[in-house]
Amino acid sequence: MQQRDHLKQILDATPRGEYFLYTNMAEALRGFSSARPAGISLGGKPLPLDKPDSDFPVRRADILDAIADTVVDNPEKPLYLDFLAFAAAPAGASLTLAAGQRADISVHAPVSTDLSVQRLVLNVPQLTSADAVIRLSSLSALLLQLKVNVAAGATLRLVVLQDGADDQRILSRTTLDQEADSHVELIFVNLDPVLARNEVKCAIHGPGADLRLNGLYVVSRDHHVDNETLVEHHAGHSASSQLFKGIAADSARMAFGGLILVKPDAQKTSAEQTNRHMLASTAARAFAKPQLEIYADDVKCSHGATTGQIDPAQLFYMQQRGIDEATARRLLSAAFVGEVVDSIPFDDVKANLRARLEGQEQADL
Amino acid sequence: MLTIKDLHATVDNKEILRGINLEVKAGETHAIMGPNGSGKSTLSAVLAGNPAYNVTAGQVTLNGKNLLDLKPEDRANEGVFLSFQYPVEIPGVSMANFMKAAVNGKRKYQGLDPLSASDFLKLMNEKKKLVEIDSKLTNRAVNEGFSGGEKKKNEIFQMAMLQPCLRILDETDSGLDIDALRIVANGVNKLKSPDNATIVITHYQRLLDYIVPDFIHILYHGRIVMTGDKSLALDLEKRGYDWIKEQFPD
Repeated sequence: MQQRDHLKQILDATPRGEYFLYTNMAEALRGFSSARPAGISLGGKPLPLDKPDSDFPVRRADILDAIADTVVDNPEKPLYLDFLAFAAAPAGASLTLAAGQRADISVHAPVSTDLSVQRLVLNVPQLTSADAVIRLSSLSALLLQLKVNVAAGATLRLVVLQDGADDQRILSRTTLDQEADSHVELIFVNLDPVLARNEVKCAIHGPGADLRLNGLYVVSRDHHVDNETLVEHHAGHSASSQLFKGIAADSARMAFGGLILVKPDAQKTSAEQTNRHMLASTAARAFAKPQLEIYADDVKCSHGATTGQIDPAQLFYMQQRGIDEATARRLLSAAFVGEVVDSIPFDDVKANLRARLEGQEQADL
Repeated sequence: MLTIKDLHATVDNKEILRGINLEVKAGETHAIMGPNGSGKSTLSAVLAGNPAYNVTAGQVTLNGKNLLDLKPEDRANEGVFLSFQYPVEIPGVSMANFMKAAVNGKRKYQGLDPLSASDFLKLMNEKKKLVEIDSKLTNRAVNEGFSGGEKKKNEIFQMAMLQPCLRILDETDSGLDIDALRIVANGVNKLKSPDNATIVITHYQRLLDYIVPDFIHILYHGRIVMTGDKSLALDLEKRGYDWIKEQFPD
């Protein structure tokens, strides 16, 4: 009990360190103490879960203890979402992706006062080219822990998508490990959930690997979306690029924190990171924290972050052609995030998203 | 069609229009000329409802409706079309989507159902031919990477699509070579009808060789100080504006 109290104390005190500057984790994780597994399915059928690792209740107490310690020892880069997921979803699912057919996975949190948690491991075997879409939906609160292992010479195209109109709290913690000569395209999409936070940690372990990590988020009302990325280059001759674009309307908040870490042995690394935010109202807020940490001397790294507004000249031009202001704003907003939409490798997802962004459903943006 | 009475307007608290009076009837073409800074472009921006400009006094009616009460999009849907001096580039918004939103915006305003995809394409193709615009342009994002001439042609294409009753051409000749000028002017003339009216704002007489005005007004210091027929433009070309400036000191 003492440990739990300890953890609660820590979770209640926000913000805790720079990593949690933007998102109130105590609020995001409300209901975690009675967390339970979320539903997970593949192609509409429940995905079988692995054998539970151990006796759940006993394990959970240990883990909550560990979470508390982690947060205390290393407030900048805590792993407690991982631990929490481990505690709350003792079984978890794992899937080895095959070439040829896209894996359409859904993870769903029902209406509940508890946090719904799930764990998923995706493996892409050597020299395999695989596609997957993970759709997250949450009528209460959802945490997905995702581990992705991409073997040497493999290719993975993965979209993690949240686009439900009624989605509440959604958290994801993704750990991607890439071996030599692998190629990964990983895209996160959030369409106006009440609260979302994506923690993404990517590590490139072998030469010749490349990663494209993109994000798109649209928030309105008093909603909140936060993306925190860490891209680690452990091996040389590897490349990564990041493009995160977001739009906030009304009194919504959006945040992007991104760290590129180039280890001493990772010579000839090329890494870039771009973050662009558009504020669609004066009460909306945007936060950006781009960071580079480079310990090798022969690398090419860059980062850029901007925050802007809808161009009044473009808006007036459209209105002068008879397009009402709301439609004009919507088209300009969709255009702003268009390059991230275009980077989605699946035509059906892309078309659906474009229709959502340009269409009537988003009229309140 | 258009009646402007004692129109005063400011930008950044500076008074630019200081009492404009103008009556434009259907079927007429009016040219507005004047030296730099006389308020020509301000007049077009105020008529179109650009929020950067403040109307401080006066009245503007279009077909009996008080234009100044309307939002920019509603003025457009009532039939005001401004061909911009500097058409705006809108990367990421395709010409097709832009035109569809504009055409259907007007239809919605008129209480009509949106055009079907096939009817819309038919309309696009018909108007493209009419104004001699290349399909390459209409397949791109709005004005993105267009040359000066292409942008102006695109303005005329949009005019053809929207069939406005009041056409305001703001320095349409700027940035155009002779061939492009002819194509643009031909487009304007082809689209002229007894039901629409045209206001041509220009510095030079050259455009008026192609778009022949019924009246020429000289704007100076925010007022129309002289009105004449097309011969006035020739006078100006010869004598410049100095004699007008002398005649109408502040």
